[in-house]
Amino acid sequence: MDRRLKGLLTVWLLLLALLGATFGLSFLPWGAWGNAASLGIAAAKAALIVTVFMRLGASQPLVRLAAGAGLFWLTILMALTLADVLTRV
Amino acid sequence: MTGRTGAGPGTTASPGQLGLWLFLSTEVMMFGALLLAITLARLGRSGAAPFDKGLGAANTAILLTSSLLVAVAVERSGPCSGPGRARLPLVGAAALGVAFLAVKAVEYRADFAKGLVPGPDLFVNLYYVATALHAVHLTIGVALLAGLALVRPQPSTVEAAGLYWHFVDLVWVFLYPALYLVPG
Repeated sequence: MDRRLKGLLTVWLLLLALLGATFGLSFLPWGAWGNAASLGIAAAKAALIVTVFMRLGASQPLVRLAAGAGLFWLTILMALTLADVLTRV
Repeated sequence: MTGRTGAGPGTTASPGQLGLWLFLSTEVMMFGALLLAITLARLGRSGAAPFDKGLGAANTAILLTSSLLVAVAVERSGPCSGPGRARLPLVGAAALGVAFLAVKAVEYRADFAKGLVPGPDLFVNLYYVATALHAVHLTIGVALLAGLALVRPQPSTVEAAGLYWHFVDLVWVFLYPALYLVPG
């Protein structure tokens, strides 16, 4: 088995392990911390998929910029909306 | 696209690759707004999510595995590979996409039997909007992968379809905790 294929398989196993972790943790009575944990695990999965499966890490800077722009504007959307909603009294 | 500053051989992007990433960025905005709406709907309700998180997890595993197969197909469609070597993983990934849709259909049926129908609960409504929109994307992806398995595609075409497929997987990675894993 060549090295690249081995890398893909390793990432797939990691993704399944993260899925198992998020599923298992959801049975614990964590309250709001459960949200933070499941979101953190989703972000870790996303990072693996984007960098390894979608090869963004090895892409040209221009492509990374295009991908990063989506994330950047999404962050603004989320941050400003939640900054309003979560701080209402 | 050659001769860019700082880009050596093998690091240049095809115009198709850049265009696809730009398209995916617009998709991020669409699904991102939907995820934000789901987050707000969750803040406005109490109690755990009423949906079957076991089936949701099974579907996540199905999509993650399909993404692995697509990554293998992209690998095998390269210039160093023999013709047709990408076909099997492409067919496998498309089949897993169909399996995902089948599980989703079973789940919708069970949801309806439990009385979880579109109605006054905003969170339930958003569940249907988000999962149905995702299913539409997935159906397009299945058609793309199955179509590529029938012809002998260019490596860049397989790569573009692969990027789209991984993105559909990525959306589900976030929809799963947002819709199914709501602490009670």
